[in-house]
Amino acid sequence: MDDAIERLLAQRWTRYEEYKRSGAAYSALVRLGEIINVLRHGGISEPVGRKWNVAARQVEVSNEMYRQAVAEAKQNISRVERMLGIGTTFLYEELMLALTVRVELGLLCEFFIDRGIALEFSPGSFDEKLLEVSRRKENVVAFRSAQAAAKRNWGVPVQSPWLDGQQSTKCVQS
Amino acid sequence: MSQLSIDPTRNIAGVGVSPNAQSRDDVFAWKTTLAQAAVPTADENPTAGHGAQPGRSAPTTTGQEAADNAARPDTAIKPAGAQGSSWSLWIHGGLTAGSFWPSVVGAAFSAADGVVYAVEGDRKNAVLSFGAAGVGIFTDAGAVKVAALGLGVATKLGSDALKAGRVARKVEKIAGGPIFDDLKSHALKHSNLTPNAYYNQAVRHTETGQKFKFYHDGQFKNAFITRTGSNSFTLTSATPSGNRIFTHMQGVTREYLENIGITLPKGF
Repeated sequence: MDDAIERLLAQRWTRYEEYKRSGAAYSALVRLGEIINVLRHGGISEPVGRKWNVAARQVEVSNEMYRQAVAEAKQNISRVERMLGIGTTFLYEELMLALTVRVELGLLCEFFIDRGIALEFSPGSFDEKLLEVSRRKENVVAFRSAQAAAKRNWGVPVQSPWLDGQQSTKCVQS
Repeated sequence: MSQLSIDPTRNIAGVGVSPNAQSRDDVFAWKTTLAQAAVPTADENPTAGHGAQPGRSAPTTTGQEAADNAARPDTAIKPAGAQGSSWSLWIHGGLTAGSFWPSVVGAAFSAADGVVYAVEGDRKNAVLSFGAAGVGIFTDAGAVKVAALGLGVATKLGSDALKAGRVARKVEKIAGGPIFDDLKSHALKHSNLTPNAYYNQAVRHTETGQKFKFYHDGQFKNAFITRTGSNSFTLTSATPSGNRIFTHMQGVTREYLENIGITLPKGF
């Protein structure tokens, strides 16, 4: 169990480094958010947990990286809000996009809160729109399929109310 | 873990409206009104006064008012050439020259010019002269009028250039291509392009993107994918036969593709 989780965490860490190197700040910090999320909710043994906690929490986030990540988070929020604001019926691909962005925003929040960094964005109105769309009769099947596929394919066992069918407008799960 | 508090002043950029921006808009609106009054456009019908054009936002005159204006000979716009006699030109020339005096003096000349134009039934120039007189109390009425005329010409030229550009950029949809249900809506949701340009982009991407297969809800689909950044890809999803496109999106991530069931090969 620990070996499998550790391998997954190592893959996420590799991605974090790749994205950081290539200037994809948002994607990089979301990967750290995934690691922190798994450490909090994954039931990992003490030595493995300690090792990854140290690694994830020792990462220094420069002002530039923070600024870029927040800018991209805002762009993603605007993009999905715009998409959800047009029409009432959405495809599986579109609902998956909204869901992926929403879970990623939660993971980014989790990383920032864990590091005591003040947030400059909020997914508030995004959540209301996504909740409304996901409950519409014409979208229910596609949304549930997207939820199930995202949970299955996420790569690491992240915990998010949006993947567990308990959609919440809180930035981070209690 | 506590819920985030939201600071409305630090929320999504671009939502707030600065009070200064509002006042700038007002100034711009005023200038535009003056400019429109100064330069007749090809759309105006000289026999119908300020006629409201179908499909255009009516500026200050409703269709009914336009009809009323046309029925009143004193307010109807006269065709060019019918307005000026030689004494009139001298009067306007003198008053316009006087309007270049600073402050109240210039404003008085400009107002007098407006009165003469009004008597002549030249409503556009009357409005322009009165407007310039109002502003000219604080500045130079002649300069204001010249600036307004200049702005009008610039606006007209800019508008013509824009129209020409729009015509030049009009995109024809690729003929005989796949069906794309709800195309307009998808173009709006996922691009800043016109529906035809968006359609063409999607169709071309099904020819240039790398093909993958994915599955959901009992349905197989083709995904055409191109890398556009370190973690940015363009995706077009279509039926396996290729005769129908479902959607076309730019800027999706590797993690999104994995979620829909596509694992990119190493080095993609």
